[in-house]
Amino acid sequence: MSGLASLRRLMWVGLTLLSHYRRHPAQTAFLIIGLVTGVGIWSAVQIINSHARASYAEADQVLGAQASHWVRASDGGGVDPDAYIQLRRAGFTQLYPVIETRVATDAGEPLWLIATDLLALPRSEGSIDASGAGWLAMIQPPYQTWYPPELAESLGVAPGDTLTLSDGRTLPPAVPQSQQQQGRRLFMDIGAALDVLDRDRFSYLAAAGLDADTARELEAALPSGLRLEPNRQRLDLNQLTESLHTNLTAMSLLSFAVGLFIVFNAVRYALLSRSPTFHTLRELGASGRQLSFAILLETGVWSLIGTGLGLAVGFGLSQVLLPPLAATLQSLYGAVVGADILLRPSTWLLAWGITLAGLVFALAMPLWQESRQSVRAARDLSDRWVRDRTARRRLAWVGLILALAAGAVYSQMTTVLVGFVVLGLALFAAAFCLPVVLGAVLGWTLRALPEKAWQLRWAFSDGGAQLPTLRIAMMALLLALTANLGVETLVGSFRTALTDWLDQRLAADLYLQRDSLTREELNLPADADWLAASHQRVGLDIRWRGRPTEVRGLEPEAPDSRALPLADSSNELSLWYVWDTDNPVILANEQVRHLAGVESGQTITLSTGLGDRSFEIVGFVHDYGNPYYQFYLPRGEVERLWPGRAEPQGLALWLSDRPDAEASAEAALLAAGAQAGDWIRQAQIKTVSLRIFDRTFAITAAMNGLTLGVAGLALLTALLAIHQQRLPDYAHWRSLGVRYREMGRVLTLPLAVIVLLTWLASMPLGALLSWLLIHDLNVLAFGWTMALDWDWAPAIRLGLLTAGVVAAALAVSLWRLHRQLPEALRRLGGQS
Amino acid sequence: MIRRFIRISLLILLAGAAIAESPYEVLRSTGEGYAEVMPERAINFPQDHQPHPDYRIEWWYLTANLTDDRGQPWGVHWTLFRQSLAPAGPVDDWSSRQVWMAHAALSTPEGHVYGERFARGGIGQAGVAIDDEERFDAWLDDWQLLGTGPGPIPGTLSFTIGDRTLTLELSADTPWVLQGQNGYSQKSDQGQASHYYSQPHIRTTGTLTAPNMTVNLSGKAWLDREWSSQPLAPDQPGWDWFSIHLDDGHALMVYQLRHDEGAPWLSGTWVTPDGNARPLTADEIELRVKERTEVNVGPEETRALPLTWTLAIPSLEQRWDIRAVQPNHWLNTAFPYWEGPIEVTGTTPGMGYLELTGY
Amino acid sequence: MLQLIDLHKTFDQPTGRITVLGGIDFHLEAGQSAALLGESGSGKSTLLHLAAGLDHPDHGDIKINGQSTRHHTEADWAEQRRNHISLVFQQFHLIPTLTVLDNVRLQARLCGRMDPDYEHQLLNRLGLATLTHRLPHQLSGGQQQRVAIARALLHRPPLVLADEPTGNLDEHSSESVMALFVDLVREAGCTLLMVTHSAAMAAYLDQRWRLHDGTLSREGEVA
Repeated sequence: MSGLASLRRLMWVGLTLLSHYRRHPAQTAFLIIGLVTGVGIWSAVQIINSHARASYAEADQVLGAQASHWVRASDGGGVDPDAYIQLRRAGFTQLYPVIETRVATDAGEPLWLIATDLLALPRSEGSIDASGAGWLAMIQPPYQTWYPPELAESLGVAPGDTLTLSDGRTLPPAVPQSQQQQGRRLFMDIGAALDVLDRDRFSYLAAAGLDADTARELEAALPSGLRLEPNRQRLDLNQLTESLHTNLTAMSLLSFAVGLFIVFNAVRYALLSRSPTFHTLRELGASGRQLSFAILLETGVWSLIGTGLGLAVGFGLSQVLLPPLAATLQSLYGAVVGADILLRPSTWLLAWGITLAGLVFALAMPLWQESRQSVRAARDLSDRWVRDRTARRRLAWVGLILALAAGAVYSQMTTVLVGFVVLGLALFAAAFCLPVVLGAVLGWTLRALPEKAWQLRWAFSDGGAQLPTLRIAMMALLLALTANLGVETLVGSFRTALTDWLDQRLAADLYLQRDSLTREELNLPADADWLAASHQRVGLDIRWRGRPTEVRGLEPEAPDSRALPLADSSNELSLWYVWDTDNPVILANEQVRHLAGVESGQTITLSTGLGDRSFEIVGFVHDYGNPYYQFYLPRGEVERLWPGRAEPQGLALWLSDRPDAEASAEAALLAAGAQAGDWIRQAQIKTVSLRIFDRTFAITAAMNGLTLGVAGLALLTALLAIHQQRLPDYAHWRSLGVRYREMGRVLTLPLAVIVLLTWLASMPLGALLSWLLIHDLNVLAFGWTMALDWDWAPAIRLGLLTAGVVAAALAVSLWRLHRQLPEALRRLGGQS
Repeated sequence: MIRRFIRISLLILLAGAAIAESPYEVLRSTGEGYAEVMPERAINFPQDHQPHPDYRIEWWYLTANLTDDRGQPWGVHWTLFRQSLAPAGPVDDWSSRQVWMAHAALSTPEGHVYGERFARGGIGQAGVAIDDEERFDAWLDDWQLLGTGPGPIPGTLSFTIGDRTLTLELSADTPWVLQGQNGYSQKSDQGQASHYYSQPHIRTTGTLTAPNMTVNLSGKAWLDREWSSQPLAPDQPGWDWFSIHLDDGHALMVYQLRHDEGAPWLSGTWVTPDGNARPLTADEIELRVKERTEVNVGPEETRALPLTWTLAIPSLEQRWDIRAVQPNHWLNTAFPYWEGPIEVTGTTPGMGYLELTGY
Repeated sequence: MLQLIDLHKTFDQPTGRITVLGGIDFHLEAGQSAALLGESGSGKSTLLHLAAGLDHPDHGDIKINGQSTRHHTEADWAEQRRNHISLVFQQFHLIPTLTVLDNVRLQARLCGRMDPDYEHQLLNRLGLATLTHRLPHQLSGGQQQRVAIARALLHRPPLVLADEPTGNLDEHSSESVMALFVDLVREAGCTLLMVTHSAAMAAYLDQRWRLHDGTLSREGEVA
């Protein structure tokens, strides 16, 4: 046979096979839905992650200009514009001033703001672009505030609006426009920022592309009080956010796996219902190899369709999921993530690759089965039902092996990635063991039922017939339910821990946020009758073990220092409160313990202004949400060890019991030079903190919901497939005079039992998952520990939700059954 | 798509919020609300060396033809521009509506390097003022023209482009030359004009330092001071401006403002070696393009510019051939133009600077 | 017992409309048995399906026990089958997940006419007594069909409709099964209409009818 003829023959075989999908739109739809949801969710996360990483790669730029270094004030008070002008006039034209600050809307919503002098921004000579009008109005009164469009939308700010801040100040008119590396920040001219925020200092000077010589010259030229720091933002961000991105990837892979279950079902069913076609084609002379090749071709076609549509959905989804994630990255890590998403060719290729791999996997098993059975067997459901017992047992063996592997890897778990491998192994082990459990429970129940309960017995025995098709959907459902429960428990536990921690940590009534207003500067009278206690914290940023690290100076007598949220402490904790320079002790946040692997009683070395100093760790403090290492020393020690470098970190004020204490406090603060908005009430910080927390987990909730939705779809497809396959059975029942009511009972009861069992199984598994997440993964990823806080509400909510999905799926498939039954009855004698 | 960061563009800077067809649009826009250039306004020294923020635009413009120890030709061009974004408003703080721009260019025997800088007014990063020691001071960052007294000459020019630093000592014995009618320089018959004075007879010595290199330079420089609120008429796309030092000590300034249609607006001044000026009327000047040369104006782009000219002042019995020393002196700045040294041959030979705008 | 009156049935095929039944009139007294013979595709199964209410005629009426079914809904037909009509198919149609005993008892349970003595007798006669706890796939084809027969007869329905009941069996099994089937039907007092293409099978029954070109004609009566 000539090559052309064989190609034509292959085409003909392929087209004959594909024509199936035209005649069975429902199967086609499910295949596509499976592919699209799986690929969509996975690629959305992929897109978001790579986008975020691309943003980190630009993190050494500030507003479009490279910033290799910063110039900051040693006392944290900001850079005097005169010093900046002096440096510019000395020829350091690489410097440009930046004001970067957090403000709050009058509703308390935190906003980040960045400002620079566009005229001073370094640029390459001759590369001037005339595009982008509008900034001229920006540098002149009344100025402009540039809002990234989606932020403007979420704040409800229309062009021209002037946003009022919590301190009563008003921002210049809004323009929905964004700047490179603006992220979710507001952008304005630095002149405007000085004016509007009533400041007289810059946050820092950024230095673009300093070479080593110039950096040395600049360092020498810096007036006292300023210091030059290299910009390590990019490295730091990649390091700090790694765990977060691993988390997201793991969740997206789970969604992909669940999507794959649908595909698996759909493909298997598509192959199964085409068995006659295969045999006809074989009889017509198509070789086995040609058939296999045609199926592979079909797989290729589907993988392309799935990838294309999945990426389109993923792209859309990423647009929805990015803003909350960007807000999280901003508030947690200070990472600036832009709103404009790029779809990279590598994402395309990777998506196609995993889709193809998933499809081949989904095809391989059914094809293998197909090749091993005769035409007759393939058509005989009873045989399939019996063989499924063997298949279930095989799955359970695989599940056991996976479980053993999970146990083995668990003991070696040292990184987040390995942690997720354990998690994945455990989840899939459970999923693989589920069918055998379901089969066994149905079998035991059947045997336990009395002879008289023949309808129940029939129903339970029918469960056996439903199981082969349902089991994959149930495995998907179990995965989704377990993941949901596990993550909900994690989030719930975290929220409880955070709330307790906030209560403990934010014990004072008022917090003065303006760093320039210290207790000393406020000159509060010691005997003010409205004031019960106060705590002036100081702090500075250093590097320890290659990571950005915070050193905080606490006043040991302050009420909140007396009741630190300790995670663990040694017997020597009291030494921290009665400081002895010969026996220096230190407190650290938990991150130091879990991420740096330092235990209580061990000694750590910090480089201080007076040289390296060693401290014995006497306790660890919970410090949720902080990506940095943190050490606590008495304030006096910090000021002694880092002379001139400790910056004020806010002043906490405890009010007395006097009824007018708050009014007196505010009056005193105003009199001392503070402005309304400089202080914040405890309750307000808590509200804002919890709001940030909830937004942080919004993406988790969204992904959870999507995963469950995908599992619901898997269930629906499975039920529709069952009813399509078993239509002749039902017709036969009907021919015996079985009433719809009875049929409904027989069909629904085992399904309900199977779903109920799956839901029940998800609870211990969900608990196990949350335990792994809280006790191991969270600690590995973020270094935070917390108590597992099991709540029945999510389990019940999920149960009801699942019941709803099952009811809906059942309603749809029973409705279809009702419509198709007359036709099936007609065919009863002839076709089957 | 990530929006490219908006580059500072003089185009928009000068033209206000509207995007102009040409960067030169601002020079043609009406000076409504700004101070008006009036023939009867006298030029006063040293006050008029200082900025005039009530006028829209102003510049301090220095060019120099220099030679090194080996007799090779060098050229220097340094300009400080001031621009008011609005007719009124604060001058002296962050809300200032004054914007400064500076260009510095060095013509070497081998080529051409230049730089461009911007700064907002009012914050001390750029400006023209009398310093604490009663000296004239014009600066943007570390680029500076610092007088020894209240005027720019005698004084010192210093600037850095990349790793090259230039310092020039400037001095002159002759008085300031008031261009046009006592410093009132008419630019069209529609009323456009500027206040304009120059010092054409500046003696210059200085050094250029670069890594592993020091070059001693000497020669003649020319300083122009000009301010206006609307120097160009709407139908004037640009100008060709010549400043020439003749070997016999005379100096000559000639410019033509080209019109979209019809004859250009011609004007000039003949300055004797002792600084006496004689305005040249349009009918005394014969200026013709002799040849156009393809000049690189961008990485992939060339433009044909008139770099060879003939100039004659029959009333003075003078005739010259003028030729750019090097063709590639295009400044691809926000406000792009050609500026470079010229060689003058003819009745009396000399050297000078040519500026071509609006091409 | 079963009366077919002027039944018409046509099918739309790609090649055009085919008249399968062109005005069938047929009557079968209670307790009688009739074989329905005909070429493959002659419409004998269609006729049987119409009689069972699995399909519906274009025109005409089916009377069961003298009652018209002209206005029967699908649910009415289901009730009719549940209580009065048993079907025996070529493919047996046992419920694969139920044991032999549960399969046998299914229809009797549905219509509530359990009879342990008769059940015992049936199972013995059909040779199923030792197989009651097996599942259908563990039985041979002949055994499966015997289970189907037991199921059809246990509640002694007035009318039994059989469509090639032995078509899937080898010649030897089919003969023994057929003989037993007919005997049991007679003993139970059921009326039987059976579709077959085999004259040998037809010989067991009281009447033989032949369907040809959409019309039904009776062949020679047994004396």
